Amino acid sequence: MNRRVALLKEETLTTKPYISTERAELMTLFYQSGQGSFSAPMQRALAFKFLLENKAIYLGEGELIVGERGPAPKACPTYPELCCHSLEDLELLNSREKVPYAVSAETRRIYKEEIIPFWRGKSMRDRIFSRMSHEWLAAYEAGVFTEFMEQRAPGHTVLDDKIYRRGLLDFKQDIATSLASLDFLEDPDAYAKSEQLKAMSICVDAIIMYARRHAAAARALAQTETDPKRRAELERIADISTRVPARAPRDFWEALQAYWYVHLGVITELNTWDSFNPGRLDQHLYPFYRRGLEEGTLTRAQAKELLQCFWIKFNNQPAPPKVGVTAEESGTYTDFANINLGGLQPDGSDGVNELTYLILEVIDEMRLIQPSTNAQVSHKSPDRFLKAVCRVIRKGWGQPSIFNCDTIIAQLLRQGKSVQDARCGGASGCVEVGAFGKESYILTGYFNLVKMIELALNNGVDPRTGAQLGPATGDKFTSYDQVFTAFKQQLEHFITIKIKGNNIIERMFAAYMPSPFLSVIIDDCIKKGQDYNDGGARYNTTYIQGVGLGSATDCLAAIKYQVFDQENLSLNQMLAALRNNFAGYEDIRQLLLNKTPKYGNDDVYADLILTSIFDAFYAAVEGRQNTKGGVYRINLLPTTCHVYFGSVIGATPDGRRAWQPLSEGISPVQGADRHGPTAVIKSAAKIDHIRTGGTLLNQKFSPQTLAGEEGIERLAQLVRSYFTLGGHHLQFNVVDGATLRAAQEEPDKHKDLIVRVAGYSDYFCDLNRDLQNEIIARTEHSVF
Amino acid sequence: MGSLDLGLVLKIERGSIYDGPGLRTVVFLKGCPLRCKWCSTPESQSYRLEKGYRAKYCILCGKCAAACTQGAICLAEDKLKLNSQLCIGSLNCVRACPRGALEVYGNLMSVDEVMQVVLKDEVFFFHSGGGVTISGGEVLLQSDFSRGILKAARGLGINTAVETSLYGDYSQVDKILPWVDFLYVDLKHMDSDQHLKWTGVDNVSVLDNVKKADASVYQFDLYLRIPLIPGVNDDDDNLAAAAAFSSQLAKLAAIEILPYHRLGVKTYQKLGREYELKDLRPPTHAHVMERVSYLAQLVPTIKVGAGGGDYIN
Repeated sequence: MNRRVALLKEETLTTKPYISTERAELMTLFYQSGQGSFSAPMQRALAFKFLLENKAIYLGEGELIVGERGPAPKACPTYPELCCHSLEDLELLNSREKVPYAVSAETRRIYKEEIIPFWRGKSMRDRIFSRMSHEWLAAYEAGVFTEFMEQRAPGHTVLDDKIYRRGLLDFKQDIATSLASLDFLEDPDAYAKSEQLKAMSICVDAIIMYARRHAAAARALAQTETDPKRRAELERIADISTRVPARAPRDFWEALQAYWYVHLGVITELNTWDSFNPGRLDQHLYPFYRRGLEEGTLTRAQAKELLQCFWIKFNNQPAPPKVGVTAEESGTYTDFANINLGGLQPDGSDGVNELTYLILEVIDEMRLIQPSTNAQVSHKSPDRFLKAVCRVIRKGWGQPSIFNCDTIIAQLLRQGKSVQDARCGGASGCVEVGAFGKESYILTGYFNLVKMIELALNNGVDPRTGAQLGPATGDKFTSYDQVFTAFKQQLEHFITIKIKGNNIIERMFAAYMPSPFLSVIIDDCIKKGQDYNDGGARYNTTYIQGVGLGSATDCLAAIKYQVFDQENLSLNQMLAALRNNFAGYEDIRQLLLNKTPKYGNDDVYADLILTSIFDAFYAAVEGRQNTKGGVYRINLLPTTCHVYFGSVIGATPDGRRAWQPLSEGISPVQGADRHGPTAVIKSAAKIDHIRTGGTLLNQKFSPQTLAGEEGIERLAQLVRSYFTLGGHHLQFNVVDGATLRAAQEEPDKHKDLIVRVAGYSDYFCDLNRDLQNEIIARTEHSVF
Repeated sequence: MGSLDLGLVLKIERGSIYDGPGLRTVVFLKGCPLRCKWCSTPESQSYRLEKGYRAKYCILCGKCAAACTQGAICLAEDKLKLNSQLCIGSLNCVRACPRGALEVYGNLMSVDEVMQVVLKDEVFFFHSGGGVTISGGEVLLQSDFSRGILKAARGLGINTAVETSLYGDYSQVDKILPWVDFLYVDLKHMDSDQHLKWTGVDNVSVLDNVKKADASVYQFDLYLRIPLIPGVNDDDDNLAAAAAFSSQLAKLAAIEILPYHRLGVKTYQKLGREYELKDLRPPTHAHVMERVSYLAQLVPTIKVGAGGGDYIN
């Protein structure tokens, strides 16, 4: 990388995230100014415009791609209309050991005097908690499920190629057309639609104005710039920011900058979950890249430099500060922008191009935790691509992850998407599939599968608190089937509670917190005159994410095998051992750990239980109606929630001690897979991945195993094999246990050690101790 | 085939990358006529079930002692004491152990049972060009059983490899050869007396069988492997003799030098046996590569490599 990029990288790596009050102050000013007479979408649009008119413009030294969400890199805005942090929250953010955000005395003062007095009780967070039922609150506090929207807005979407073909002024024209065609005679929603469409139009003007503020700033800087080279760059930035995103980009640089302004718009409007991202970047940019090379206006080196500057921009925007359970389930600075490479083109041909390889080089050289990246591998993808991906993976910092393009398409088709929309889709966040540019696929919270077993074994009583949390499903079990039935009853009971809560929250966002800017760029919000948060997207899917599938499988396998099949112990003995956290029952714990069928070993006994749990979870969720004309579906991923969910569960029948982490994603319990990666893959492939919206499988290899060209080939073959069997996603840690333990002992010497957590990479030293231990405990394959 | 179909299997390992092309499932047989002093799998030598004890994993719960009908196990301060005189070979103790600190080496399996495990990784064979490898112990000691596996695999389109010392009667070799795609033969020492000294048997039948197999009508790739044991067989003379021998072989695909390692030392402890090469250190990488180069220049037309890795020539 050149000197410019090296300096920008140094800056983004060394600048510590801190809280900026800019957005909160502007928001407060706007709402205080008495905008109450407007409809919700108009109010949000005017607030958006007010923010973009007044927020500071940042043009960093040497930058080629410009624009920051906050007033400077790593300055994190807050969203008091969604979550108004208390002074205690700010203190915690400032002082917590992991993932801190610096809070200055001035910030505290502004919060105390201006922000908190205005927003307390009015934020979405306050409204949501005050509106949830007692049973919902009890389940939430017991760690049965989490709630994604309690301090962040629904987002979970990714852009397609529309902004590279047309300018936002073209979208404004579409909005005008849609407005003109409203039928105020026959359509009772016509007024609501007109408000929504007018709001979208305001947002288009606002983002164009915001880009042109950058143009003006760049032009002013250029006038005083003494270095002629930089002066020319600043003038070019000014020209670009005048042109895009108002009109369609004409070259590579304009295309990147156009996306970035749109990105800033989305993440400024609301703190949407799973940071927005450009999706299939190699395909979107390829026409500009090819034309630039052909016309001689772009070199490969210039394209790489621009991409690297673009990468820096993502890393400059840490996730909005999270507190409470949200911080537990997603304890990272990463905000899950996940750029897709490869895959197929809309016509079904292979999507890998020369830019794909260039972006892989960028990923490799930048070595940043943001943006996250993945490779979509289809049966049509060349081995050269897969091996190039494996070579970056082997470097050991967890990127990129690999997705099965063919399974993604099958998943989207099963959900009713058109084949073209499916091919233009991909994976975002950690592993979640979506039709890019056309779908709102909202993850609503993690669901604790293992807690259902604990409740089933205790007649609905939560042993941690002694409270009757779930229904009394019986405590005299004479067969395994009875245990499983009780598990299913608990599961269905709490899924229903979760969905009831979701349906309220969905309506609250539709009513109070529409996102007119996001609606401009997601089909078919303009055509329908409907907000993204209110069913405006072409596809509207709501997800619940199961956590602890591996642990749940091993728990039920232990009960079935040891208690009912082999009769090595009675259920009472097992329960006594669990109650005592195995103190005095070490022999039972060892039996459960070592002489019981476990998921991840290609063992039919355990794997049949796995699929039975999967089917029960699927049946409880799949197809239930959401409030936006779509349905509920499942996916299986944890972020860091397997640690939190483990912390609310006592000892379990799989031999796990109380409060320890659960298994993550669909990975086996840490250390339970003893027959190598091929057996793990065979077990994991027994899940019907096509009936999910994403599954997450982690594998850990010792670096020696992947040595040489042979190691690359074997890794690639392993991936191909999993994908032949229908697997959805694979990600790898290539690091030995000794390195991880050394990093725990001497974090200062391992500050740059990046590992794969679950669907994202993070600095090992930024992880809390439990999560560090969990990663160390994962089976390290030294063979294939 | 009934009970005649059974063989004594030590273990089956999936996903191996060291025992032939691609990702392979390796069936390790139990029982070997050789006693190589550097043997890294001593539990594969005896043609009987054996018990191993991992003191590190033992929680001293006493369940094994209680399960033993012969009083062959008693609890000492920090580990078990196993009295091999009293042990009658019952597996009660192994079954009773909750943690697998007591384990049994060896498992009687039918060809079908072996094939069921092998078939689990068919998809990996397809993508990697892998297949099944039968290894030892010594394959020739169970040639009928091995032939059954190889034939079944071939019938299913799965490629086959065998790792053997080729020590034994050629009639046993002849039983398996029609069904082998890759034949890996160890050349432990070219001098018969030295071979006898370090492995317990001479090399007359080994060299003879290699030549006969090479001259046979069957199609397979022959690989010679030299376990490089410092001070035992890494001298110029031995490598020169190996080179001269190799030059006569028509089916030879490559010679591989496998550096001595000490990964099996712990297993000797588990079996309660002594490891004789206490002080022998593994060769340095530089020494291995120097020996590989030396051999390679003696046989310029033959591929020579170290540890299954990249080849010279």
